[in-house]
This record gives sequence, structure tokens and C-alpha cells, in this order.
Amino acid sequence: MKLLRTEDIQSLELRELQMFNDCQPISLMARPGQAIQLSGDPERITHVLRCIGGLEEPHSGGIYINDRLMGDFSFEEFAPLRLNIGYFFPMGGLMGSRSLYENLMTPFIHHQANFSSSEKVVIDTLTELGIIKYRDVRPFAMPGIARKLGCVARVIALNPQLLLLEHLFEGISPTVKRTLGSWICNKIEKGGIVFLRDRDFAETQLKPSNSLDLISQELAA
Amino acid sequence: MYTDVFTLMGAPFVRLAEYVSEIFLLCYLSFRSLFFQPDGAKRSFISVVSAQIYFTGWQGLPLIGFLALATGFIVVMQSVHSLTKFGGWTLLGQILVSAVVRELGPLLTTIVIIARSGTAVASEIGTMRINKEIEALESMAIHPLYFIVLPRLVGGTLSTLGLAGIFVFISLVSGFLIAHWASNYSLEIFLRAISSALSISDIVVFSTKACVGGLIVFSISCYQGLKVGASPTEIPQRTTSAVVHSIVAVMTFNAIVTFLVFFEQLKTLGIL
Repeated sequence: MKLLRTEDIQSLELRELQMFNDCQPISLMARPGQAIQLSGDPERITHVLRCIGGLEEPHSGGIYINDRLMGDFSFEEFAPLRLNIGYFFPMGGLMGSRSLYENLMTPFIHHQANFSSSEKVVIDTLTELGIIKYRDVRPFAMPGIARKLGCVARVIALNPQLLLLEHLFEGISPTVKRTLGSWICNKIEKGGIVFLRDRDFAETQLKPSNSLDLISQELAA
Repeated sequence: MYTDVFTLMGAPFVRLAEYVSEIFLLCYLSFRSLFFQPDGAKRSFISVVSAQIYFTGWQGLPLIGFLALATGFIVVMQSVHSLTKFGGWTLLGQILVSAVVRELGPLLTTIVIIARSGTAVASEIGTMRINKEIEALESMAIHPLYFIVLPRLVGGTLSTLGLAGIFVFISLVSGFLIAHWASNYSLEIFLRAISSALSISDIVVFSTKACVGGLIVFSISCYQGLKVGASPTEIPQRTTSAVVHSIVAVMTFNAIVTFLVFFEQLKTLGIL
């Protein structure tokens, strides 16, 4: 269920995107219902995902969302699209001065979502990921894996259409892996676009539709 | 040769101009962000502002109170000798207003705030940068300047003004107590002396120094915190820069205001 007003992503295109000066440009068109696995240079993968998430600028080329260059958007114009992009921070990303619950509630409160519905979504997500016991704990007092799941929980709670997932399945229990796997599969079926960095999808039933090798610049179906 | 001289003089000047313009830009963009936020954002904004007022204003109160007591005591004790010698006890109000209201109140308050809150703000924002909290806010379509910088600027400035006012009040009370103890100075005479010495321009100077001083401290501290790159070792370096630059900027601003007021007084007296 969408609690925030967002803009649907009909297409996402990387056009002649160049991460660094010395690397080949990449081009890719992603449409709803696709899962793309990125492989190759780890630094470049992070850079590509951060560029799609609007957190970094590419060296050259551009990212087009719904046929519009991402760099042309102002912060305010980009907000409805941004709320439909879920960038999973593999390290950090939770506010240290707020509890896990407050961290997850922050975007809902800020963007005026219905409080009781948002609270229900947040509590359900924390319960499903097995971190409800850390609800009132601040991130720095939580074990590393709970912190990681806290970041995952924020992405899930916001229910974005485009998912940018880096090392999502590393170090988490098989049960949570299965939960996340089925959530992502469901997302793809409902028209989501998923970019993944993981290689091991055992226990998840997840099968990326395409894979993009950032070294050879080859897109394989 | 001329090129060398200009290069030597020009480079630091350009760096300074760049630095000052970036601080102004940070303030401008932070205040501008206020007009582009959803209504729900006000709630989180007010909560961060009140937290800042609590940490800067409320928690800084004991230290400010102590400093104010000591300042009132020192200023009046130092004046007792000269005033008794020349029989100028009526000038006590003028001395307290000039020294405490116009100069020491805003200046000492701002310096205490630099030491207590400027460092805290710079290191907190630096840690947020390292921990990717600012990027996380961006990814949730929350404007970082609105959520992080603006509440600190507003809360910090209000706290500085409030603390400076309390500083002045406590200093005057402590000054009166010392004057009363030293020469049986009555409250009525003291109040009359203060009210006749205090003018609108003193209040304007006091408010300007306190408000702008607070804004300078918090904008420099936020700027330095945001400048932290990827390494945690940059946090203490940026915190030190925040303190040093804030002190220099506040002292310079206070000196400029004092000079302008002095210049205006000379013009009023017909000397210039």
C-alpha cells in the first residue's frame, strides 16, 4: 500500500553513462517488471546505483527517468520520483540521534502520510524482519546486522517502485532472505524495477531478468 | 614582480571571499528551503529547533549565569576605585550599559556558545556526513538544509539572543549587589542610573550583536560540519576550524559594529 504521493516510473534509461574518465560509457533501458543484476567493478556498481538514486552525478552521459534527464530536476521536482526510488544503504544511513522506530517514521511524518497507517506499516515491517525488539534503540546501540535490516526496513516501509540494492542478502539469516526474496519478486510482478548487486540468490527464488557487466559493458538476458 | 605581489595578496583574498560567499549561500539556501516544504515537515522542523534551543539555551544557562555574575562583579569592583576617587557614582549606570549591554553581554555569550554548541554542531553534522545520514535524508526526499542546517541556525540564533539577555540581566543584578555592598547604593538610584543610560540604540546594538553573532557561529559550524568528506579524522579538524573561524568572525563583526556606533556618536557630537 502506498502511503506517500509518488510519481510512477515508466522508464529508466542510462544513456552513455560514464562513471569515471577512463571507463567505457554504458547504456541501458529498464522498464517496469525488470530485475537487473549488476556485476563487474564494485566501485563502478556503487557509483551507478548512487547515480540512479540521485546521490551522485555521473562523469558524463545522463540518467533519464520517464524520458526526462535527472540532472534537470530541482530538489522539489524530483521529490515525488525520489520517494519511488529505494536506495538501500549497505553501511550507515540511519540517523544516530533517533531510535529505529523514529528513523522509519521520519519520511512519513515529513511527507504528511496518515500517522496510524504509517505506524502500522513500520511496526509490521520491523516485526517481519525480526528487529521489532530494537524498535526504541538508537542505531549505534544495535548490532551490525540489525542496523542493516533497519536500513532494509526503511526501504520496504516506503514501498518504492525502483529498488537499488547493494549486498542485500549478505550476512542475513535464511528466513529473512526468503522474506526479502518474496517481497522483491512480488514487487517485480507488480511493475517494480530492481537493480541488484548480489550474486547468490539461493533461498530467494529471485531470478534477475538481465545482467549488466560493468567491465565488458555487456547486457545479457 | 607585480604579478608575484598580487598573487601573494590575491590568493588568500580570493579564498576568503569564496569562503564568506559559501557561508552566505548556505544561509540563503537554508532559509529558502523553508518555502518549499510540505506542511508535515514543520513538525520535524519545530522538534529539531526546540532540541537545539534546549541544548544551546537551557543547558548553557548555568555557565552563562556564572559568567554573568562574575562579569557584573568584576566590572563594578573595577569601577568602584575610580568612581569613589572622583565621586562619580552616578556614572555607574553608564559604565554598566557600555561595558555589559553593548559589549561583554553579546560577546561573552557568543564565545561560550562557540565553545559549547559550535563544536557540538560541527562534530555532529560531520558524524552525520560520515554515517551517510545526510544522503539518507536526500534519498527520502527530505531537504538536508531544511532538516539539519535551518533548525540549528534558527534555534542557535534564538538561544544566543535569549542567553545574552539573561547574561545582561544577571550581570546588572550582580553589579547592583556589589554596588550596594560597597557603597550602600540604593535600588531606586541604580534603576534610575541604568534607565537613563540605556537608549534604543544600545538595545539595537545588543540585539544585532547577539542575533548576528549567533547566526555567524551556527552557519560556520554547520558549514564546517558539512565539509567533512569521507574520513572520521576530518571531524576534529573541521571542529577546530569551526571554533577558530567563528571566534575571528564574531570578534570582527563586534569590532565593526562598535566602530560604526562610535563613528555615529562622534558625528552626533559634531567632532566629525
